[in-house]
Amino acid sequence: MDDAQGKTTAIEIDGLSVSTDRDIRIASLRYFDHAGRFAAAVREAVGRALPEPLRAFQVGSAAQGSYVILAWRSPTETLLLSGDRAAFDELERQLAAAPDGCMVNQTGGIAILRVRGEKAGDLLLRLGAATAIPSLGEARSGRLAELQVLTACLAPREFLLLVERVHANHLLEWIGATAADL
Amino acid sequence: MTASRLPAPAGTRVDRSQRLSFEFNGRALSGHPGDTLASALLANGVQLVGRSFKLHRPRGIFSCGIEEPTGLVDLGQGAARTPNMRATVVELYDGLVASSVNCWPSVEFDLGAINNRIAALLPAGFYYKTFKWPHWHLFEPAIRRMAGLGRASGKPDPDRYEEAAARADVLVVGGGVAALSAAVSAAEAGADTLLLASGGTLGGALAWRGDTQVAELIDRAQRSGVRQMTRTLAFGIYDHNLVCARETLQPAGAHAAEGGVLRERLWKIRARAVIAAAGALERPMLFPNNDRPGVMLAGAADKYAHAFGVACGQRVVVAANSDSAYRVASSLRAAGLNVVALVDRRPQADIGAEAPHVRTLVNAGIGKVGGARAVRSCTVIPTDMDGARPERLECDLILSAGGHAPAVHLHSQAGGKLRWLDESAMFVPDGAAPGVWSAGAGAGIFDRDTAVSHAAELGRALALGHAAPPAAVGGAGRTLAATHLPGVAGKQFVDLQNDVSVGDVGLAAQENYRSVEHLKRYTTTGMGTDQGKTSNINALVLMGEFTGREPAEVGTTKFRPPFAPVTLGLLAGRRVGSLYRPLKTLPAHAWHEARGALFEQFGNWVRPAAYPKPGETLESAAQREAGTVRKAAGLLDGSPLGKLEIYGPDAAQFLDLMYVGTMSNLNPGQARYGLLLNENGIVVDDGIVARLGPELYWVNTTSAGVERTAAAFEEWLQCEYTGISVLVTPVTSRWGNVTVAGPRAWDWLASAGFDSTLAPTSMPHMTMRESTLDGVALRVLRASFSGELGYEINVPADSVQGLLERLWARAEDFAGALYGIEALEIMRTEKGFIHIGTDTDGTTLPLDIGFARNLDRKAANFVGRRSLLRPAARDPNRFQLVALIPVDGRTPLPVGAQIAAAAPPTLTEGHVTSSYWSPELGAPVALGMLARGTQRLGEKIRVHHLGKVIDAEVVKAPFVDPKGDRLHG
Repeated sequence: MDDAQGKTTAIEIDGLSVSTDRDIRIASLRYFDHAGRFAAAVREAVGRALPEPLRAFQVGSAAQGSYVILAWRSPTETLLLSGDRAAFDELERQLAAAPDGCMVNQTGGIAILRVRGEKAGDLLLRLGAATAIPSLGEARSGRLAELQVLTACLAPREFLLLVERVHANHLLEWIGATAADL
Repeated sequence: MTASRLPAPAGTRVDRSQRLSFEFNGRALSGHPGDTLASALLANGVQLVGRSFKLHRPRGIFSCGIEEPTGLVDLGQGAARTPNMRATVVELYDGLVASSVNCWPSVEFDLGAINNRIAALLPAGFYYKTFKWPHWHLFEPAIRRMAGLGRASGKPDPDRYEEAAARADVLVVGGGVAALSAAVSAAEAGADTLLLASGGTLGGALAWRGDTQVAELIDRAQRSGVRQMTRTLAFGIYDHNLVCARETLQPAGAHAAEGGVLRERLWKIRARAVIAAAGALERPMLFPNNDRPGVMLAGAADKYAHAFGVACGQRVVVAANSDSAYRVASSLRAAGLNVVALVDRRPQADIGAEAPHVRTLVNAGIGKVGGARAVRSCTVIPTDMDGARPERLECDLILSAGGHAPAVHLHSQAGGKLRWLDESAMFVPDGAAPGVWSAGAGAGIFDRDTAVSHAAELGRALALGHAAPPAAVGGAGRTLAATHLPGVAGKQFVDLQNDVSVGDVGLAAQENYRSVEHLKRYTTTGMGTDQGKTSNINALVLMGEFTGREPAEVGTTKFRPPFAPVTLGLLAGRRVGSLYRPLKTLPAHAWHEARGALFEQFGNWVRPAAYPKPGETLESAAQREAGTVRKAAGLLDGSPLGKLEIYGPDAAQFLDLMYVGTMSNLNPGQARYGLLLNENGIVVDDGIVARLGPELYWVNTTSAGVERTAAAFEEWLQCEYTGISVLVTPVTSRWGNVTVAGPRAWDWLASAGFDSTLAPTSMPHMTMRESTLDGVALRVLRASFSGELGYEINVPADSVQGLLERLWARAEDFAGALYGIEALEIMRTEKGFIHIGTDTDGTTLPLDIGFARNLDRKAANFVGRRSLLRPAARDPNRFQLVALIPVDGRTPLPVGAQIAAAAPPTLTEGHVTSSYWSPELGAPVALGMLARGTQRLGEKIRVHHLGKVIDAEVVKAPFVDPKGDRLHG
């Protein structure tokens, strides 16, 4: 079932909803220095500094569609998600000239699964290591369902699972099998 | 053994108000909720449960827990049947179906029992010695059929299994009072505490004895927030305090619902501190025929009496060498059993006061057990020269009380050391293991009050990060280390499950086995489902006796996980069927499917091998597709091709270091082939590197090699070239790839609206251009793996299908066809292009595949260079890549076939690596690795394959378009 915001609900059971966000633009922000010139350009463009290690946050409102999510992935990489295509393109243009780093468009290459509900935590505990599950405001890389997944938690009982598109079906199938036994 | 239910208050664990029906070997029986299968069988008077592994001797229930060596059954029916379940830990449920193992046609009349008649011919290691001539493989099938006890169903398991993760500050393993005490203290001190107990209830022996302290501790545990998981067995500890545990959700063998049930859960628990409080295991005594149904561990009989209300016999003899036997004798007597005598192997026993009404025979042992399938009597013999005469005792139950062994498995698995406690003849933990502290009997603390207070102190200390208190080991009383009875008839079994007798251990010692690990492998003691829980200590003590060493000198075998058997289903978890392994799918998978693609797995990718038309096979389709590409044009989904973006001021320098080719002198828009080596000079990947900007490169790797290439890049950047500023970003998923190849490739693209600057006249081979098509960004590379004019069009993944549709709509105009990976393999073989991992292996150097010139031309350093300077790397006798054709021009050379002058067995001169029928030549072509290959051009060779010999010739590659005219368009 698709909604107006480009979400497809893949799994819906009591206490758990898993949907895919198709219309989100996503990019890898790569930099040599977390506090360098590229980071400064990101701060100027987004309005907030790059997240600290293992942190994630959202700038702007999802309801209005003009939001940006930044999720720390490694000491040289932060993932940027945006629901606004025009804003994303503008950001790409602004950062193209920024030194000491680059913005690599990953749209279509990284799939986004949104897991929410009271059983979301239980589900994630059944997909992988406890250390891969973030607390509120965190983003953690880890192995879920045998895949490398970056999981971000930006709201209570709600997680974003970022996985390579080529593996999204495998992850969804694993989630479906697990959810059926929750 | 005549078993019966004892009146209440015995049987604290069973609910006599309800009955459960079950079936054993086709016989309808009943029990109560709270029973185990073993207790229910005993209560029904079932003595003969199964047959032993090697000698098929009759066996009954021997213990009351996880250590059970003999009471094994197959549980359930059909696909749900689970083999080799220990009846002692199977909770009884209504409708349970169980059957005996290792017997035919029945457990009562077992033809395999002939083995017992010829036991003298089957000593330890008999098959190592006997089945050598003329060939082991002649005997192997029959021996394998005989081995293995129970039988798996052979059908797919209908049930489901899952994994779950957990974290805790303090993880307590065990369900007894020491474990409870430690958990309560840890939780009350503020630690997030998790308690794992393998049984369904907490409190251990004190619980079934009705001790009030247990209820109080359970209440405190609940109030202090201890997370309790019963029916959860911690079976292994791994690096960094990862404890794995099995939670039983549904009993094994239970009637499966449609689609099965969620049966078990594998917990992976990370804990800051682990407290191992798994108690202790009782050891048996050694005497002739100590394996008869009706001989069991003393503590087990005690538990059956009090917890399950089952009297395992009416006339009991206790064979002992430990103080604990006296407590059991007294306890059984109090439960109403007739304890005929206690036979103590020790010279004197001064604790008779603990069993004042039991007749005690000291300095004596059991020299004979009467009865074939059950105990009818025993004969007590003196063990010193001055002793009394042998005495026959009528009995139906012989209890074996050889002392205890702390369950040190987790401690040992974690790397903890053990020390021998001579007084109680047991190994105890010697201090703590890294991250693991022992408590209770598992720590060697057998005095209840001491164990409880130590565990409480330990739990609190670990919760607060304080130093752990020392363990006051002791309280088990005196135990004589196991000794056998010399000079008596009958086998004295050390390992009941594997039929290892005292004589077998003696034979091993006689044959100069000294290491306890070798003893284990030679005699098989300590193997099987029980992993020697009742036999290991006795075996090593005996080994010491036979070799003149103390037990501490002999040592123990390595304790390895799992502590108890776990199902393969548990380990597999969700990884079955389509979830067996993560496979990568193309962005336009459905589009290919709709066009009749025959999908196969290549690496981790599911991709079209070919697009067979009606009546075509995979091979004939691939031939047609390759022919079409050569004559007109073809369309390939090359999305799996690995793609990396390399960014940074030092990107050029870095790629020069990584690849055999020089990449720093590429101008933006130029591309070059690159060979990636490891530090040993071995070829590990290849691909094309294109420069997109002064600080930005595009790297194509092999489809299967992108992860290892990216990992290698990161490793070199993070560990060696730390001063180099480069960022490596994998973009394989972001970019799909549509390849158009063939003489009419450009015409096809031009008709689809591609920019004219991409035409062959303005875009030479091995160049890359950034372009757009209807606003979609493209990165177009002119390169070719087919040998034809080729365009590798990299397009955002979500636009792949649109581009395919756009091109496919014009295919007819250019006689174009879709082609799959098989056609591509044919064409690259015709061109003599290598496929990494197919034509190369873990020994291949660039010199072996014709890259000597490239190496000589490159002055700068690169990974693997130094290894290539070794004389061995330039040995002319190395295997070298060659092109091969059959002499008769029509017999394909099978891939993997060996090249040798004489028929095998002989030294190989090489092997065939790639082989196809060339549609272009109408004849087979092949590539191979051949010793001194490059010097043997024109030479005739012999190719051997499964007894067939094919004459072949070494020829010059490529087979097609040797000047590369087609490639350059």
